[in-house]
Amino acid sequence: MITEEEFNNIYNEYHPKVYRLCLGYMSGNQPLADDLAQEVFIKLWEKQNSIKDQKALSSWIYRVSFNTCMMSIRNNKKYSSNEIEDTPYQPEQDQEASESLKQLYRIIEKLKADEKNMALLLLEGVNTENIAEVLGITKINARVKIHRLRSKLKDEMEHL
Amino acid sequence: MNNFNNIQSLWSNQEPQKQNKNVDYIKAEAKKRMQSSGRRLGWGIIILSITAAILGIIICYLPSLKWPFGPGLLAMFLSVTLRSSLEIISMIWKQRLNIALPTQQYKCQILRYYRARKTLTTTVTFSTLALYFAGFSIMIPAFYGYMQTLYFIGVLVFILVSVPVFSIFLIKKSKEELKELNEIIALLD
Repeated sequence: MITEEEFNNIYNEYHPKVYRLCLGYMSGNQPLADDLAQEVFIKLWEKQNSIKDQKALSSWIYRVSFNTCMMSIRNNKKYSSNEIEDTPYQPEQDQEASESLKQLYRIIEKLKADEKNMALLLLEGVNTENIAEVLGITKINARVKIHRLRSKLKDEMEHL
Repeated sequence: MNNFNNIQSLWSNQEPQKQNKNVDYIKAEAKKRMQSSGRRLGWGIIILSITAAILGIIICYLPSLKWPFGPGLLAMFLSVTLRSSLEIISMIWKQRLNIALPTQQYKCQILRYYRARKTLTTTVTFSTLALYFAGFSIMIPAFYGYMQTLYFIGVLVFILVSVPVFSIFLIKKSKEELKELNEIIALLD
């Protein structure tokens, strides 16, 4: 059971990460990603009893996020690769980076569901062990898939 | 862009949107949803308890009830009890779906639930409805014997109006749910 204060801390720590995962699912559409991130945190509060191990909190959050995103796609089918939004970029209005980011969204959108989840975790810098735990696969399997996916993402981004 | 670290940095440097809702709103919304789902389950249990109690009484007094009232009432209340029980099982099943499973397992789990829900919306709903009306229909000739002609005509007109209206409402609701279920199943399959 999570206390309200603990939930506030989780929210502050994980909101940017969850929001970026949602952006990945919503092809960079910020208002939709914002609504989806909100939905993820509502689910996290509702389903807090399903946390078996506090140490596995980040895996639990990512799993709930992915499953919520997967179920929300049917409500947002209209967002295809042709409609990828202009995504604001920090630290400054870098046009080239903004274009690269749009390209990255296009690549993510074309990935299969399990590859997409893995790509989003990789981009968040989650380590192999945690990726394996979140996706429910073995570490060896995760390592192989990560290697292939990194190459794929690099190759596709090179074609900019 | 040939370095994966550059891609990662490109990803993490996205400018986050200003949050529209704060954490208190999220907690309040979650609590509201939990209360609403608890209330729905509570009402379901109340309806089930009442119909089950009536069904119990009918079964107890079945030998003393004259034909066709015994089988007629039994069929009517059995159908309502059956449908209410399955609805409650479905609600509890939905609440127990584990959203924290790995995506593939969650997908299998939720697909099983939605397929069962589809059967409930189509086959089960219409079978129980047919049983309910069968039970009522076999009692109509007996009503004629017990009621004055004017009352009987009143009851008959009421049935002839209410049955089609209720059926259209139910078919419309079922179609809406079925459309939604088919969409979800097609997405997950």
